[in-house]
Amino acid sequence: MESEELQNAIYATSVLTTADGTKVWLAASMSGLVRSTDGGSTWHDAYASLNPQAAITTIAIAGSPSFAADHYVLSGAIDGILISQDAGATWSALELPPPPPAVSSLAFSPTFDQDGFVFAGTLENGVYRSGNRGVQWDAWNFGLMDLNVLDVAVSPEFATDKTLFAATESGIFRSTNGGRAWSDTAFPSDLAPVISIATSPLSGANHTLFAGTESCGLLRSTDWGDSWSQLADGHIEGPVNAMVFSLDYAAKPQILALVGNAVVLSSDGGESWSDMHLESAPRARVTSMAPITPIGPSMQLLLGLTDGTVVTSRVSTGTTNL
Amino acid sequence: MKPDPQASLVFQPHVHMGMQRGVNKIVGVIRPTLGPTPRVAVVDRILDSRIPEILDNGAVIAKRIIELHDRNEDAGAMLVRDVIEHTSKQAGDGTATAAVIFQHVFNEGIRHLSYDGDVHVLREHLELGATRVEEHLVENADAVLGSENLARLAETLCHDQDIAAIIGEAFETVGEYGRIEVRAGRRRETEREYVEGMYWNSGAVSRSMLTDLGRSRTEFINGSILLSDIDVKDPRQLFPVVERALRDGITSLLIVVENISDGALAFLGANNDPEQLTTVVAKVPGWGKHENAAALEDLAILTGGTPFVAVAGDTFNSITPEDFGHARRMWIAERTFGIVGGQGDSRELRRHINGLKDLYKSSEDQIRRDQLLARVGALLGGSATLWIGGTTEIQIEERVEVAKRTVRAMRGAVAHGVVPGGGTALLACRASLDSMMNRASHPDARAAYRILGEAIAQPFRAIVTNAGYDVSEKMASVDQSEEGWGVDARTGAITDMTAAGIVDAAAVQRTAVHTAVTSAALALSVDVLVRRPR
Repeated sequence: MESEELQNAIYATSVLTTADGTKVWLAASMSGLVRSTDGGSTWHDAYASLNPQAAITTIAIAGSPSFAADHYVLSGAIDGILISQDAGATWSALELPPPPPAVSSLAFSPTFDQDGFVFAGTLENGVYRSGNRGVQWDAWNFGLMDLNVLDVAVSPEFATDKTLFAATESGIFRSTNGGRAWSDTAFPSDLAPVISIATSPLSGANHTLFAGTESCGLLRSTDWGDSWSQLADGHIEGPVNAMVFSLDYAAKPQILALVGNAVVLSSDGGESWSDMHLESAPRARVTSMAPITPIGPSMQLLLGLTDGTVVTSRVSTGTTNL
Repeated sequence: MKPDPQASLVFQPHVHMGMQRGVNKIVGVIRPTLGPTPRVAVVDRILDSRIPEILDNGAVIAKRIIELHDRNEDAGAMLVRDVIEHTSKQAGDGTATAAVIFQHVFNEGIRHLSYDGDVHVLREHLELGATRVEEHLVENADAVLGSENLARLAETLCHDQDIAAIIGEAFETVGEYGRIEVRAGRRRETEREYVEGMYWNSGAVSRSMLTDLGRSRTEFINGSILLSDIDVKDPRQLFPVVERALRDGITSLLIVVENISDGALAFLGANNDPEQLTTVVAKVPGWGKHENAAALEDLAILTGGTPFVAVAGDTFNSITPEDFGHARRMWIAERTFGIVGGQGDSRELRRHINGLKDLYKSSEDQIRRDQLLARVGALLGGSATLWIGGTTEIQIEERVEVAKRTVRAMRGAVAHGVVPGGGTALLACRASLDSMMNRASHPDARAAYRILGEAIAQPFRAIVTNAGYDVSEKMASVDQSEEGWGVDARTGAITDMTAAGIVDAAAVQRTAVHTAVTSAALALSVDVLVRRPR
């Protein structure tokens, strides 16, 4: 299947690399999940082995932190979670407590290979958690006053601080006990909904959290959500759908964010931002972004569009400082 | 108050002397209970022939002292008793701390006043100093995170490892405002149970309405709820409800009413059809109109429904689709019903919960505070029930009391953090009082800060003495150590108290200082006792 043949909006894209260097591209949409292992030349229905009676609308994808070794991927569907342990080639559905949740986001513990913790944000049922690699799930939403969860982010020091965050329609909640109980952060509710959230790779040391809103730009907290400041003086406009961090963030604190149809870059941990230039201008609205190569001069992105296509584009430095 | 011809008047110096004797007597009983190595008080039973009570809790001991024989002494003792009761109600702990601080401020205050001190100046600066101590405690409080740390804190409050472990876990799970119920268990072990979602103490009106008779409950997935406090006497009152529900494709409906007649129940039963519409009826939760209205308000915001209110003249004739509330999951049992994933406006729910939290924080009335806490806990979506075990009924009863008290104190600790324990945090506040004293020029103001500085060292002194160590030696060692280092009363070692897990709830210490100092300062201004015949 050619990427152009994909129907409906792409909700999520992911690029995962196996131990032998094979890059697995995944794209989730209303009609299911497609997979390519040849750089997007050909795409296959990833759920084919399930032989589904109807399309399995898929909203979220996440590969385990130790994907290269375990080939473990989860997908969040409109009525549950699916699992693949062979890099997305074959899938099976996981059993969740009723009613079936619409899974909007998935997040692994950074030490998943040791603790087996993985979290699923859902659109009406709060956050589900599993402590045994996805075999069993339960929802402990004590204190989570908004069960419409749009994204979940886990602390890089989760193994010791048990901290994670849920971005919701009305703000951001924090759990410091592995998702069993939640408390409200000081995120200004008039800036919600929060559609993306990410912890800085150094968060364990500096407690920094980034929140992307639907229409009020990007915000940062340096105290795990107790206070917030708007970034780029509020010049980032449009929905912040995704954030990507540089691999060597400690040395080079670079953050790439997808804001509407634009890609913006910060090279100083969010202090200042500049517009990036997409070499292949997308022909429809961009809904998701995944890095094919790490942030750098010849960076390449996998972009999902509202018309259902998946395109690749190189990114180069733009001229506008925000 | 009518003039009492029989009343007798007592003037100074007999007022202060008598009250002082009473204060010293009651504090003398409570002081030995301070710290992790408490001595005990044995109290005779009055009403039965059971063995005497062995008590190590200041609040309970004070409660048992009903009056002292000498009327002047009794006035002083009852003031201390009031301080202890207030501290216990407000903070759940800190009673002995409050008692020893009160005693020192009162005794030394009297001594100063006997040298012609001005009670008003003294009182004003005692209260100013207490405020500074409270601020210092707030500034130096650390958050308590993780069930292990919470359990260690609970143990410093209840000295019961078993209860502490379970309370620590419960607080980690349900948080500061979570609903934690403490009940007497029927086994030796202490157990806990968690319930997901919000639940109210009101169940199905008729057991025949429950679909899962084995578990005595009905579960609805994507269910609807109709909220009202209407007394349904005639089945015809419900016709519009059933008609509306069927027309809107509602397949499972919980109807909340004030009361329902057998005829109306029979009508619903006859129309129950698992393929079309299943209904269950529950009474409005809460006792009395006020609690009923509060429950309806909470349920309406949680589920997005509109309550039908009898006093407003509402009837079901005007029902619209928007009047129904909805939830992802509901369960109805014989005595309770619960809601998981209410479909109300989450922003409004957050505003509502925050409003209730503000009311809770500002309310002084304990019953009102408990009601507000229960509402917040219910709305936050979960609860823990602790079943406290023991070998005998008496032991279970006592442990339940200990657990309840600890839960109350833990709420303050989780909300406001902890400070180094063993009286160490209060010792660290002396420097602030010293600088206030150095800045003050009025001799009574200087006396107030000096007295208060000595008073807040009393808990440390009592703990060290109770543990059998030399106070002067330990005080000198602590004074030479870094801030936050104190005496581990179990071993006598000078240690970093927080690192060793020896901490006190900041809120408890604040309440103890505030209550003790303001009450003692007030007591110092008493000049005349009016004794009425008993």
